[in-house]
Amino acid sequence: METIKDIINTLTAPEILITLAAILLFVSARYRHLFYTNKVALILFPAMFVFMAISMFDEDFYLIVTKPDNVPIVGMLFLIPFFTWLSMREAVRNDKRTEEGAPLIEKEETADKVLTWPDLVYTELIAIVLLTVLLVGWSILIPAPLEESANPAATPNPSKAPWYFLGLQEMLVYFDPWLAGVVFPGLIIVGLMAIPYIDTNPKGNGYYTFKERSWEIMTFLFGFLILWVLLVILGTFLRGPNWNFFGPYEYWDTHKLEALVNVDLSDYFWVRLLGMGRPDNILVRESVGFLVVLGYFLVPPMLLAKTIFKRFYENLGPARYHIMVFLLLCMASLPIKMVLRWLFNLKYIIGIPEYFFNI
Amino acid sequence: MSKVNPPRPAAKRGEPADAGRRSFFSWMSLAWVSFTASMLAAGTATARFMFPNVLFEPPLTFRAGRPEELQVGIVDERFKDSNQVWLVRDGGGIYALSTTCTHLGCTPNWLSAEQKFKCPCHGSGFYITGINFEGPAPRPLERFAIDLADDGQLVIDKGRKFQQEKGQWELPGAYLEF
Amino acid sequence: MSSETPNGGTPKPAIPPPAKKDPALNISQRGDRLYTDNGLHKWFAISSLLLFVFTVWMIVDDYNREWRRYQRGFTRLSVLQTELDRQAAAGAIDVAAVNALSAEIEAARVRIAENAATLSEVESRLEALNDEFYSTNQAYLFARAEYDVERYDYEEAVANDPENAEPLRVIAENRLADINQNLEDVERLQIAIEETTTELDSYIGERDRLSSERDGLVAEATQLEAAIVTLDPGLIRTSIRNAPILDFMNPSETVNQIQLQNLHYDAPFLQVPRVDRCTTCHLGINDAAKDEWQQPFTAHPRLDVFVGADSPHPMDGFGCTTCHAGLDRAVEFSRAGHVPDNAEQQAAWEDQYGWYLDHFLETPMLPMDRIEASCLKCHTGAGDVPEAPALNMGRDLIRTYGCFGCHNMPGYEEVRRVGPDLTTIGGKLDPEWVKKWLADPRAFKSEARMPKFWFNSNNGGPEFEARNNAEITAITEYLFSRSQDDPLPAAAPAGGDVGRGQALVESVGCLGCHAVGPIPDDPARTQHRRRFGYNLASQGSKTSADWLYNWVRDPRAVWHDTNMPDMRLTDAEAADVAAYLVSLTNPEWEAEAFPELDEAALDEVTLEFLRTGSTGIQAQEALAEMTLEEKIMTTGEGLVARYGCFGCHVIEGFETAQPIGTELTQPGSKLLNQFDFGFLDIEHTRTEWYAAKMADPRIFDVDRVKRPEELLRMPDFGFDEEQVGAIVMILTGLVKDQVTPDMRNDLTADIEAGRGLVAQRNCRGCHEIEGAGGDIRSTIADQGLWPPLLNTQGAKTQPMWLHSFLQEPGEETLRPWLSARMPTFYLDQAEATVLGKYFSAIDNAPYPFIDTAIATTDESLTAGRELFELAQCNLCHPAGDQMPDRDAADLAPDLGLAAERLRPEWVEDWILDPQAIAPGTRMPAFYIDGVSQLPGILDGDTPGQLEAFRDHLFLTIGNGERAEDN
Repeated sequence: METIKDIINTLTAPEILITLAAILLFVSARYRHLFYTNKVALILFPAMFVFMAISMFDEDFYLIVTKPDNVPIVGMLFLIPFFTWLSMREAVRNDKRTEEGAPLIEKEETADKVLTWPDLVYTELIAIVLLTVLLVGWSILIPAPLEESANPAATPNPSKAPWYFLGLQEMLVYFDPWLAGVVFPGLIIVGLMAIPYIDTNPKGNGYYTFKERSWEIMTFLFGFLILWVLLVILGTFLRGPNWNFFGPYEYWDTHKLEALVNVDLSDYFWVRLLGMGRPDNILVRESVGFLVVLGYFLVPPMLLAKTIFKRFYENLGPARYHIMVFLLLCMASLPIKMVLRWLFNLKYIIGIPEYFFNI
Repeated sequence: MSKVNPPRPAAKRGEPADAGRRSFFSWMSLAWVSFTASMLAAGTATARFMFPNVLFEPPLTFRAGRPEELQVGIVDERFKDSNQVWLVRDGGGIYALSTTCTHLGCTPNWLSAEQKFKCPCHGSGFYITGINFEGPAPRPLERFAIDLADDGQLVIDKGRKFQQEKGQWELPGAYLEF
Repeated sequence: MSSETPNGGTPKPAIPPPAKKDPALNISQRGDRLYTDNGLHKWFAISSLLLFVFTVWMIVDDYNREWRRYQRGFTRLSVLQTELDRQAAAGAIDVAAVNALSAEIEAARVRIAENAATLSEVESRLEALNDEFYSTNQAYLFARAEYDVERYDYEEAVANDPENAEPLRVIAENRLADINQNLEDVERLQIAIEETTTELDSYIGERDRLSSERDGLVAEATQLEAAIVTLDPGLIRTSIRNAPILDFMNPSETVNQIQLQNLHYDAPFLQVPRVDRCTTCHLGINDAAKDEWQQPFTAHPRLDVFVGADSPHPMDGFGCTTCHAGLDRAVEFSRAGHVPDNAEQQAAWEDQYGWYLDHFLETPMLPMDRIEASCLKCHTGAGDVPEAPALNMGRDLIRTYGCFGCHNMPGYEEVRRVGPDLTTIGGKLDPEWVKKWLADPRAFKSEARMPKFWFNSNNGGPEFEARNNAEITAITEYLFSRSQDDPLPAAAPAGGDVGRGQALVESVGCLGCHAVGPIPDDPARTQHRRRFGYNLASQGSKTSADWLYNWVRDPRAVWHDTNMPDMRLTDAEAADVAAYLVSLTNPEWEAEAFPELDEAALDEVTLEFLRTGSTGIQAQEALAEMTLEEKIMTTGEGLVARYGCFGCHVIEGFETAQPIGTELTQPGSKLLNQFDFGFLDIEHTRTEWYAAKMADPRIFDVDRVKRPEELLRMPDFGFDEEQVGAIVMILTGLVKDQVTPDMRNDLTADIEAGRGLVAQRNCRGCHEIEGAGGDIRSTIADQGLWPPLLNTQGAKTQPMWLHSFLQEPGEETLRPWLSARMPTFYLDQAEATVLGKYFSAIDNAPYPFIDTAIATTDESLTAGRELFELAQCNLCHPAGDQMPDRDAADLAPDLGLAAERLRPEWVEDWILDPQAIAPGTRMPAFYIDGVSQLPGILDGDTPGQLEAFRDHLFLTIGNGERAEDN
């Protein structure tokens, strides 16, 4: 039992967890006709439930999972995979039907139109009532997690943001606060707003499909499931005192120490590669970083336009294409930076703490 | 291409075959009755919420020293400001008068030279017993329940008042024989 | 829209079946509707029913509080108790008397009935009179009011318009005449009413009187019966009053609270007035009759001191949480911060109440063995806190062991360090002794106050032995090298007698502050003041007769800052004492030799010091070039700084060094996350940490990997469990709560200053002052030979005399029979004044100017002389030049001193009842219960005789002043 717990504790380390999750996402999309079926669901979800139930016997697991703040996230652990599975299953079925020339599910099994009254509004009323029942029951059974009145001399450890910001708090591990707290959230919103303008794929309106919108769906699922939901789950369950990583069965020891020996790119280049001291002049010192960043944003768009994204370039036109690629590169920079951190202990690509400019 | 609408089925499951006869029990009526009941319950609970469970006021019952500290014929004003009560001792015992004028609620002053309570607002006058005799006051000052505690101190309960015009000054608690 | 019909053609096998299996909802059949109406209604009904159930559940859950259960239980118990009382009262009724009265009442009623006609006539007459009185009186009052107006007009006219005043005067006068007429009518009616009332009373009065007499007999039982009804008016009424929702009107189950505007809960940035809701469940807390009831209804212990309305801490003024801590506004058992006293209670609570420790609460309740800690918030003065023995012990311990020397503590900034002066160590001790002493002080004498720095739980293993010895050697050599060896003032004469010395030590008063050997512990703590001075055991193994001779002869000449007073010994006596003390040796101790210095170990330590400020390599080089002497000096100095020896001792070069210990400002409020519990498995609470620390200060180092210079440094004082508890009490009691001055127990400054000085100089070692002290008594068998009780000292002695006595106690021998003598304490003017004011303040005696002139008559003087002879005062008291024929040991105080020394009023009190002032005194009692045993003089008039005694004493024997006769 202990070895299993240790294995799980090791596997849930951020570098392994996120990588495995990303791989799982892509593999499941590749072999979707095998993954997103009823059979898999009937095995997978009960298995998850059983796993959770057995894990409850571990004291530390129990403490994290039953903390009143965390209960909705436990729900999310089940709900998100379920709805992902549900929509993908429908998409797989629809794709199969299209392939065989059969009518779509929406055309065959669902109505052409749905009456607002009573079918929509009445159902909404019932949903309101049921949701109220759920909330009332929840509030009776799980008391509000009140702590002591705030004392500036006693900072809670760990100090966690509300769940919807835990993804950003996790990003703070890898990025400078300006980027993780302002730029990226801003870009997320800007990116979402830009979608209608850069998504010119007319397919997939009003019916499930994967094949006809595979690029858009995978991009979104990667960004949402891996870069948002998974980070929230990581921040909720797997980050403990001092924002250290703790496996699900690990005791939250406040005194646990991890060496955070992170190195800037300029360090790697000047000190380790060239064997000299770091230059005094900031611009010279960070010149490699500037090159890398500028290169990252200037070179790939044109390269990709000629190769993988050729179709996009043609469909979207240069303006929209460049916007799309820019947003894509920004989104990709998060996992890239994370991987660089895990592999090379890379701290900042451009590190100018004197002017609070760090990338 | 014309649409072919299939014919409506004869009966939908669950509905009565004859649309004219309504049964007493229907899901609909149960639903609305319980929904209304829920709303009423929640509304009542909200209304109850508006009445505080604790009041941050001085307590209605308070201790007022020992009866030996009061002299016959003297109006004791020690608790006038703090608890709005006068303590008066006469030959037979002690009673506690409310300092609220029965006219419009001002606080009278005790004029010992003239042996009367005189309200400055509209001139109501009361004898040392609390009986009104001049001015617009319609009825005498109210008395509060007064008792002797186990340790020998006076205990005044402002939650129980006694009005002379209703004959309540004869009731136990309005007058402490001493 | 598909053009295929669902029923036409062979179905292609690859079409997946529809997700919804219900054919009724198949798109081809259901038209525009997605769901059936019935289905929707059904779901709506189910969800609404659920909503109703959950809403009701929510209301019920919100209503069901645990405190209601307790209040109902309390009511039940109260009803039971009252019923028992009622039965007892009913049983005590004298039934025969009641019946007799009832018979008489019946007879009276019959008589009344017989006179019914007359009675009703009288009543109607009375009624008519009352009606008439009402209207007549009203007319009078209105007329009076009119008169007042007219009089006012007249007076106003006289003041402002005199020419037109006369008519107004006439009007007023006429009115007055009318009024007087009215008044007469009213008065006549009053008389009539009085007469009629008396007449009426003659008929029914008797019945009423008998009725009330009978009521009086059964009063108690009736009252209790009414009380039961009040307590429990019936199930229906109680249920309705306290029903959910309906309980907004007049519930009998309520949250009870005591609001305290003057006592605050210290929340961040906010002082929140306390609102104690403890009495919601603790309903019997203020009722002495409930002292046997179970928790939570039991009465508070010692209601005369706490909680009771007449106590110094009434509930309405102090609440509960200011003493017990906890969350004042909570009404749930665990959230209020209840803390179990021990593990058994914790298990019981977890079982019974589902208790858990709310770890977010910064101020959980104090466990009952630490409850005295709260007294410190208000009782901040120097004197003992009444009813708080552990707290007082804690304060004594802190003062004795000098915690403030290493830890900054509020209130102790000016107090002198407790250890001896080490700047002259070379003149008193030798290095070998010091090294052995440092290694283990309590091996030398068990009452040693010096704590142990080495061979503790974090540096006691074999790997530390060489190192410890090296450190000790370095420190010792360093101190000796810095010692200023001024020669001792005098040389001891030869031939001191050990036997005489011992007799002196045991009789002259040394044992009030000192003891020879271990002091037996006793629960009443009657001996702890004999730990004020260093224990005298084993002195011979420590220092020389020369040094002891000098010290005992004149302590201040050896160490100017010492607390030791001058015993005014002659040189011969001092030599004897020195000889005796030097004969007390510790052979076991002397046999042990301190190990040789291990240079390698010394090098290790020296290296640590050299490394601060330079690199390891440079340190090694420097070390290689140092001589042994240099290494020892460097290390010694560094170690003195590291261990903070200067916290207790004066060491040259370290006079202004900062104490090395953690600051102990508000240790009772220190945040829990700032405590390092190490690997010790104890409850994570403040009190547990402090207790563990005081029991073994190095305990939190166990199992940890630390460099030697990182090890914990607090030394081990060898406290036992009781002492640990006392000190923890003090630490827990120093909290950040600020108590406003009106709530604090601030005595007058005079008494505070006096108590402080008394504690500082250990007056209570010999004398009983304010009810405590006199530790020396355990060494003196004869009560008559005890140092005097200082009760009523302020009322007794004249301020001027007391002042000069305190500065020069040796000038006159007051009590020749005492072998113990009051030493000279070198009190300066200010200190003597402090004591004088103190004694006067506690007796409410005037200070400093008193009138000692005595007004008397010749008769009184004559009587005084006769009384003096009759009482045979001369038998024991010298009086001027008259000396009794006795040994000095049997003499009483010289009465010639009385006129300058005593206050006249006190003398009278003394003669009236000596035992009341000084129990055990040999002064006879001439008055028993105030009745003179010397009749015949002044007709046995006690006050007169006392005055006569006084007059004789002051005016005849002494040369007191006689007041001018007016």
